[in-house]
Amino acid sequence: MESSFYTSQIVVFVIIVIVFMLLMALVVVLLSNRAEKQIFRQRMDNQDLQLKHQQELLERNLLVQEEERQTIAAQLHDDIGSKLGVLHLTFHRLRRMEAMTEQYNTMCEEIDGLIDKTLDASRRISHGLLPPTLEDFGILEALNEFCEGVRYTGVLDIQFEYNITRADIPDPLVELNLFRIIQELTNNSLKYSQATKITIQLMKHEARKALRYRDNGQGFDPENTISKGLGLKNLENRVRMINGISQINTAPGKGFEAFITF
Amino acid sequence: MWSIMFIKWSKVVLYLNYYATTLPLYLILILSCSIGIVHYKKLSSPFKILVGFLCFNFSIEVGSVFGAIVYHQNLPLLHLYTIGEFVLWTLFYDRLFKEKTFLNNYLYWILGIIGTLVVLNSVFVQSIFSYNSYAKTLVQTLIICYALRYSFHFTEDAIHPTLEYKMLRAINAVVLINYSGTLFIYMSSIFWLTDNGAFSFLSPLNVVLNTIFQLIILITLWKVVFTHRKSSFLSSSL
Repeated sequence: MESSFYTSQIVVFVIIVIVFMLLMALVVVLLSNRAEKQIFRQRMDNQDLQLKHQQELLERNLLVQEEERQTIAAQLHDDIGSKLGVLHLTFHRLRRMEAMTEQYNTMCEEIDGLIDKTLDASRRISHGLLPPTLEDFGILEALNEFCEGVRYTGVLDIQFEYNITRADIPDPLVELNLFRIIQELTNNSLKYSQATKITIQLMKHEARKALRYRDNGQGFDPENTISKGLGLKNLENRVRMINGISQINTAPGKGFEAFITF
Repeated sequence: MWSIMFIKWSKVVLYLNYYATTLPLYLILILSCSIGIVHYKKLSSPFKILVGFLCFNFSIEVGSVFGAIVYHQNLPLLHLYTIGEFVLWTLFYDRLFKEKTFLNNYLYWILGIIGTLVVLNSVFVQSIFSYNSYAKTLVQTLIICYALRYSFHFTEDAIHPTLEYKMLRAINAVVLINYSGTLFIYMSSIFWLTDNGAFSFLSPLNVVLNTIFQLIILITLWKVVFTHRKSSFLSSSL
């Protein structure tokens, strides 16, 4: 009886110690899980911050790019363009003077042609960098002009439809970004999609505005597109800059559609 | 009074059912070993060592039943099991720690010194026909240390945890719980081997903890093999 009592006391003691050890182990496991989750959360926060910083850098980069384009366009137009204009006029005055030889006349014609071409080129570069129509008459006119330009090449048919007015997009930065987005999408269609028709629509969409861009090209598989090109990344950044939401629908052989609300 | 009655009751019930309680353990071990062997090539390095441990464990269990029936003695196998258990868990944790730790730096020293101590204990201190409580306690304490270290060893895997990573953390948790729980059973073995009343209660308790331990290992192995068979973590490289 005494031995049994002694045994039971020892067993109870051992069980208490075992239970204690089990509880300690459980506490360690729970603490470890908690610590792991905390570390995970911290790292995710850091990643979010890094991502946000990268996005800000990209947006800033785009803004600086635009500012540089504006400066270069202005300098091309105001400085080089005007100087070429003066040169052109001066040269015409020179030509009106008494002709010396036939060779002189031929050279004058060549120089005249070169000046004309240079003037035309500087105007095109200046317009490409920042279409003056965009600044002066707004996105709708600029897009009409842009479509005219594309149509003029004869490569494809491009349609531009809208049911908004300039007053609906009062922010010049939104106008500029929309214009760049359409430029980028059109470039992609021309370069890669082998499209024959592009449709651009600017419309009111519920309380917001929307841009729908469609081409009838070969499209692509968005799942298999591992790395997005710089163009598409720039597009995403520009959409973010105008507080927009983009949706891309495409599949091999099904064309391409981008729907952006802003 | 109640505790005395409980001990007497458990003495009868558990003694009669001892082999019945170990049966699920054997079944679980057979299943784990089969899955591990069939899918061995697809498993990653820590899981390959784990399969090695399971097969070793199963062999010892079978040997101990055979020894108990034929020779009425299976304690030498416990000495062998202690060494095997120590070596395999040490190698398992060595593969688990991705950043350099004490274990990675001094792996061979640890294996050599502790292995020698365990052998010396069996040769000079606790004969192979007695319970090797010192060696077992030392090995279990070391395994608990590995598990504790791994519990707070967080790598980049924690950010995007794979199924394998989650399963390894689960195995580590169950190792910690099982070895912490059974540590005192082995430490007090000198007492309970000589006391039949305590033996009849503590020994099945050990079996129950071991069965739960093996069951969770089986579940993790099952998940790793069958849930994501095409996943990259089932690499064939060792």
